[in-house]
Amino acid sequence: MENFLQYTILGLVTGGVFGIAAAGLVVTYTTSGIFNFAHGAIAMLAAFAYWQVRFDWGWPAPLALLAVLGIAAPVLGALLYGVVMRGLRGTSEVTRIVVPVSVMLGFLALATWIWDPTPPTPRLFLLFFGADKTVSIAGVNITWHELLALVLAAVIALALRFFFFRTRNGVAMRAVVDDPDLLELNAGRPERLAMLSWALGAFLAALAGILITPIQGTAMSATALTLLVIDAFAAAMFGRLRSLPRTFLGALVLGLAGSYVIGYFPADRWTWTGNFRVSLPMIALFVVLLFLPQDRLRGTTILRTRERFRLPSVRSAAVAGLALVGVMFLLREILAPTAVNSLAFSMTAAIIALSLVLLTGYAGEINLAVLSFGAIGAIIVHHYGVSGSGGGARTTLWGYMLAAVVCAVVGALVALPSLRLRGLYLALSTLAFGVFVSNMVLREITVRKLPLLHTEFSIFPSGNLTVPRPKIGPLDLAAMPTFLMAVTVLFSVIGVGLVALRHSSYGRRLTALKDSPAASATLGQSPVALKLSVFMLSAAIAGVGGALMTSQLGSANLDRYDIFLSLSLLMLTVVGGIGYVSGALFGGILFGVAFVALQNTFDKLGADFPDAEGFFEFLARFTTVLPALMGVSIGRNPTGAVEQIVVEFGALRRAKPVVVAGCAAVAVAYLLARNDGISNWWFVVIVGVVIVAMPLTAKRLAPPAAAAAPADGQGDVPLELVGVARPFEPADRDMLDRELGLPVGGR
Amino acid sequence: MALLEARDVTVRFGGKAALDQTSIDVAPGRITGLIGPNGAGKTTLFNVVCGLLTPQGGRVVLDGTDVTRAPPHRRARLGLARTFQRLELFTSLTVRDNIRVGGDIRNRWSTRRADSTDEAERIIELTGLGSFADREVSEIPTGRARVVELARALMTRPSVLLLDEPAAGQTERETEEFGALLRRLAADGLAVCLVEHDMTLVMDVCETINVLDYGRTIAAGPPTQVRNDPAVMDAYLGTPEGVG
Repeated sequence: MENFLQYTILGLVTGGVFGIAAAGLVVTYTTSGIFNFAHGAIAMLAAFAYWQVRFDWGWPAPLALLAVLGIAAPVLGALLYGVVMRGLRGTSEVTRIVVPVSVMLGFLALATWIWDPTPPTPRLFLLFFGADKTVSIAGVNITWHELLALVLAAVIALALRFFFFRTRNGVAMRAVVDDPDLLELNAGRPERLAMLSWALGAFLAALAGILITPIQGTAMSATALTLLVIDAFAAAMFGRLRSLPRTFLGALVLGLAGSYVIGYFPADRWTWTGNFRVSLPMIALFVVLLFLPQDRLRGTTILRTRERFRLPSVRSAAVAGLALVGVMFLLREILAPTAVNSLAFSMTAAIIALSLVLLTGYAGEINLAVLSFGAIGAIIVHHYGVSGSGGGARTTLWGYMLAAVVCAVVGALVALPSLRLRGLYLALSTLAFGVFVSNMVLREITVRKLPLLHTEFSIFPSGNLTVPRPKIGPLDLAAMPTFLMAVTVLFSVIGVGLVALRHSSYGRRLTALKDSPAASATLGQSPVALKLSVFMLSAAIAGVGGALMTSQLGSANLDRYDIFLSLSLLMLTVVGGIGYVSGALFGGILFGVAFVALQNTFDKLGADFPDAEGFFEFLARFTTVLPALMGVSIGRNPTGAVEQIVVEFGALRRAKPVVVAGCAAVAVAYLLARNDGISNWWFVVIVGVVIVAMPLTAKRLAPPAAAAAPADGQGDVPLELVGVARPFEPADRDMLDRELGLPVGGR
Repeated sequence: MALLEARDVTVRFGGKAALDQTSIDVAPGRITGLIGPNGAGKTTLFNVVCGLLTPQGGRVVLDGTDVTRAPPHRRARLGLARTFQRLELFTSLTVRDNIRVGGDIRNRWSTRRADSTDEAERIIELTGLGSFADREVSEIPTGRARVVELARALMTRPSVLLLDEPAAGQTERETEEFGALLRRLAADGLAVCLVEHDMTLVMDVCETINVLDYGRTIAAGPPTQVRNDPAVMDAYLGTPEGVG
């Protein structure tokens, strides 16, 4: 009985802290319509910042609390809204999910940069009032800290209730949710209120982070802390991201359930108990999704999203695919084996990214855990797709096909509960799935006797999954250069296939569903059936890609399928251009080589120039944050980098000599590299410079034709809109005069 | 015999009744008008009929089948099609593909399949959208975009067509052509329900007009009768004494 009480109190305490965090999430979501995936990262940053000032610098607790909770956290929240999130109005749901995810990844990178993840001495984060201050309730000792957490949770629940129903700002915040435009007409200021809510949300996240860290009692880890408050997502889902009382209730239920699992599951017999406890909130999230009522089908509230993807023809896609294979063949000849290695890895990542182009770019749905599907694919190939043994072991085509089928089925199971709901919920289910796979499936490293089947089986044997290179018919891909060519060809084939798919009636139906679910349904399209089919197809591609990625590596531990890596790959693909096959290539290469290469370069430069070592070390560290910064920039340019590159290179069409000169320069560099005249690094640098210089020179030589456009007619701009998108010029006035039959230039 | 019947439909948003036991009948071969001041509940009624909104009371019967609880795509498969007042075009597709996709979707559920490309060309010609066919939908004028919505709806070969303010943004001449097109469609047996503020068009093409105000039907009948109904004048113009 005493134990039960002990577990209950422990559960209530963690539940209360989850509740505080979840309340912050609900507050920001309801007022700004943006689900703050960075919420956990804010809690994590706050915990580290508090540790810094309180325990490292030895500030007194009240001062430290004031600095972190009173100033730093609210300011961070307000800035986050003002600088990043506010710009997301009028963007698609995909952008509104990827940008906060990027912020989260950025905060993680920042924390790793500032606070060494493996400190010489473990960081001590003490309980408030110390561990010896306890009170005894019915024979159970609880620390003052735990009592404080409980009291704070209750106070905050009541205070928020009071704030939202009794104060002017609170009532206005509820109004923002209902109708921001109407509120603005009634002299409310939705922007300011949204900023206020983000400050409040960050404060609550920070408070939860500071309270939970010492209760956990383990060494401070940035990723663990970030994921811990992700558990608050599940609690918020109990309240359908709206109701605060239900959110708190959900948090308490989750806290208690977790506590009882630890307390009463026979951990020595059920070795998965600890993993189960960690996955519990995500499992709960999944279950809650099953019971959420169906969303009303909404149309697009915005007439034009800012994302515009041009569709290449199948023929030009095929030409580009062939060109890619050709370039890869030439590169393979001159690159060092390590470079071929990482390029092959990048291409497998690009194949996984293709699954995102299909799902997100074409159908507008989101998968936050592609690499978890990759892990499933790799597991299947490991168990059922290997023939031969030792050095002669190869994976079979059959294994990859089976991986595709299994991943499609798993994808269906993951997606089904949330397909009838909004895209955000599908994103959250995949996140739950990803955390579940990382915590439970990939930690199944011991051999178990399967009941009934009488066979022994281990899902992820000894924590290290070996997947040999494939052998398809007579084609042995054991050697890395051959493997690189094979995955490049496969990427091109799938890529061209996707473009063809997008041109088919299936592709048009996907686009229709993405652009307006309401209109698509009123034409007779069942949204669930279509979403399910595309999710399964995408999961199958991700599974094959993941198996190939593992095959490229030879073997992989569970860190290779980490949820944060899935998020990075998604982010980088969106940075590249989620609507384009080339965006997947861009994302895969950034994911696989670009940042590592950049970091290595800076490290090398730092070693070569000791005087500037500090500067280069800074640059090297900076590259860890760089991807996230690029991700955040999606808010400004949601169509992605590839689109911009294409536009930039459009200038080359009118400057043939520049193209010829550029190609000649690259050819010379290639020949030099081939004959070992220059190293790989120099080759990359020269090609990089040429690529950047070509459009710039072309623009200087041939003045842009855009300036001439308004003069030779109004283009596609209707008369009444001339000079709205760009400054109104005298030429426009003359043109209008002409069109209206007035004397040109006459006043 | 009505092809589409909505009976005693009630919808409340919070405490406010947007529709209060409203009924409407739409018969084949006829154009039924649905008019009323802004906020009268016309679009809400459309949303209930096509399944985007579940009513708190009442029922919707389509071709003899009670579809009150059916999802939108089921109703579409029973022959219901609509256009939207706030345009719901597929912005990533060209005008032609916007229309074509209607046929693509129908081919998935209809047993009578037809090549969506040919069908789209036929509908484009019928609706006079030829010169816009290869444009992006975000580039064309609102009035034309509304015709694209009509064309897209026709691709499903509907038996009941709901049009939500199709003439808004159209020029006078375009509206005239549009009215003629509607008459032709009705003459082919289509049941049309028209929500519209352009009274010339409504009075011109509708056989029956239902007038909504504050979610209630305040008048129903042929144009001549509705035009002179005191309750309608009251709703549209305010009381005779009040308007000075």
